[in-house]
Amino acid sequence: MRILVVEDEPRILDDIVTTLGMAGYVVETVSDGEEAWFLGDTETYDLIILDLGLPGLDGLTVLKRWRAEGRDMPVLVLTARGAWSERVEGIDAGADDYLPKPFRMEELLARARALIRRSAGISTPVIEAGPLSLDVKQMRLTRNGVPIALTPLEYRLVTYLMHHKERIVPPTELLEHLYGDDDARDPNALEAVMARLRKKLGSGAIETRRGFGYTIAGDEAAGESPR
Amino acid sequence: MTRGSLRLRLLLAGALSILLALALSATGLTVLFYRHVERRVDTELGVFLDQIVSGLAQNQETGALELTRTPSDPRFEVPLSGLYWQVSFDDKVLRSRSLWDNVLQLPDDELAHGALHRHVLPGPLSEDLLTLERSVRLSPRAGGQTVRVAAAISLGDVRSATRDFAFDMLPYLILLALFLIGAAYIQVTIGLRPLHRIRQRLRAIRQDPDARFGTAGFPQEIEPMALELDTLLTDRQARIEKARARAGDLAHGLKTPLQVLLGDVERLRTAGLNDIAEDVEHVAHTMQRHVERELARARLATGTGQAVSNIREAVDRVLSVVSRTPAGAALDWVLDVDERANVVIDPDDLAEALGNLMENAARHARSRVSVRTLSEGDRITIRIEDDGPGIPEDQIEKMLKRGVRLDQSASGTGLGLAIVQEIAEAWGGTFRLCPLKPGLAAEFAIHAIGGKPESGKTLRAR
Repeated sequence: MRILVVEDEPRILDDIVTTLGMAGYVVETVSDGEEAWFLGDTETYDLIILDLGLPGLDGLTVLKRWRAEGRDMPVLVLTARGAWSERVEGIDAGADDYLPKPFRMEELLARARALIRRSAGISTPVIEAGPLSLDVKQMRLTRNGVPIALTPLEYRLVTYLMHHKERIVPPTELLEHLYGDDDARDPNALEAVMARLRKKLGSGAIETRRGFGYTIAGDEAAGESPR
Repeated sequence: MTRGSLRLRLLLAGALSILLALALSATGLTVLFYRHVERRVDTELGVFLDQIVSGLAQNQETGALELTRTPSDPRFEVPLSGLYWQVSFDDKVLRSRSLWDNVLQLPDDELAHGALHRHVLPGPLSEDLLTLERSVRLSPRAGGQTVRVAAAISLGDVRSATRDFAFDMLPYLILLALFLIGAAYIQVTIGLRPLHRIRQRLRAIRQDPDARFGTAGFPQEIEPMALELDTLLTDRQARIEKARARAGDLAHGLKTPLQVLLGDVERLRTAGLNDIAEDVEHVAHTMQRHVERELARARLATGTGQAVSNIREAVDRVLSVVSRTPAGAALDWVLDVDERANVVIDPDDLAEALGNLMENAARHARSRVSVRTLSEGDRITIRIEDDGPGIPEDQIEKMLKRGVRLDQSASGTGLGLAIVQEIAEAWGGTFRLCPLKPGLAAEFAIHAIGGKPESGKTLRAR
């Protein structure tokens, strides 16, 4: 899960990055309105956390431009201006949720999770796929009720596939949301992680559709994909 | 029209002066008429006197003075007709037949020779007689004595003629009064029309703060006032915008450091310094409450002008925010809000109050929140119910008591309710909480606009 955080106060930015990082998200940061608009317009994110009081281009304008250009990623707005008339204005500009400062990090995390889940069309906090069950709040994956220990990278991969369990995810998209913008995106590394995961979840848990990408089946009985 | 009505006052003053003027002219005309008739009567009596004097002669046989020719008016021959003559000399009296055996009681004043005297004397029927009297010394041929010659006429005729004149005049006077009062009414109505127009424009301005009086449609005398009012309105709006902007800047300036402070709390916790973390967090929250409260007050202080809000629009807008929060998204929202319910409150203040109440309800509700409007007299109550655990009755009283809720409410929701209470008070409304089984109902009551829907735009986004 890849999140862009737009915030100009470095200490608040640090806190948000730490919190989201610990929750297993890939976080990218930017502290300038112009740059934020460019990134949001060209990259794909699962969520953007946007502070409204930005240098350069103000947050509300950035948000309106994204929406005008048809970018529909979920956006959580942060602002010091917490009057309800201003919140309404934020929602009207295209925000999906509105969190007035000062806020607790747990609250931010809860809202971020809810937004990502909602944009994936999932309404329950626990996502199920066959025998697999993912509790995002607890960061825990179980198979038939038995917890499975995962590395952060493995967790991210499973989480992304679970959120998009209805479709086939191309490897380029998976790489982007797994490693973010900065890391080298190596398809071989992805294959390696995938192999490790299949060993832990069972060989049928993740199907490979050659030429298209991956999808989570969850069910071992679904069988091996044709090689 | 009440006692304070300008139209009533102008009309009363107009009608009163019209009636007074007409009464004065009626009196004046009657007096003039009376004088005129009196003069005619005087002349007539003078003619009679001349006729009597010229008709006096000595009887050739007896040597006594007698009237050889009586005046021609037949009324002298009819007893008690009201027209009389009398000639007195020495101890004798000659008189008209109409006097019968009465005598005109002439006053015994000395008369200069030939002078005319006028008296009002009691007549034979004890009516008033206008009497003209003259003293004449007869020629030696006629006897050479001094005689007093008098002619009298009853004033009753004159008076009744005057009365008839007054009665004849009355219908015309009443007609004239009605016409003049009608004209005054039309004048007042036309004169006050600009005031009515000012009221209409004011109502438009109340609904849309960007509207202005303008000069179109106002007479020359009102134009400068409309221009001044427009300047005042523009100035006031600029001040409000400025104050709001300043409040927003203050918020940003204070809240960002507070956010940093909360971050430090987390770091302290991670480092195991739980006691210090707790202290700092407490201080940060106290500061946050003060900031929030002062911000709410600043916003409120700038917004206590005249304003109109549509409840339905405000509820929909607030719901668009609340239903996106994790707590609000999971709930069943039941709305029963009259679309035409307009109330006297700034739209931003109404949004603030509803936002706090609906967010509060969403936070505590189990599965359902309802928002409905109830109309009671000139007020509309917005009732927000949740099916959460609610608050015990004794706690409600405590929460709403001024000052207590501020620092003793642990969750911070008390501050929201305090702000709602202040908004209600600032707009002359009321706010109360009632326990339900289960849950809590919050009632926010505010003045309705005239009880009927008004057209035009109402709530605006800022």
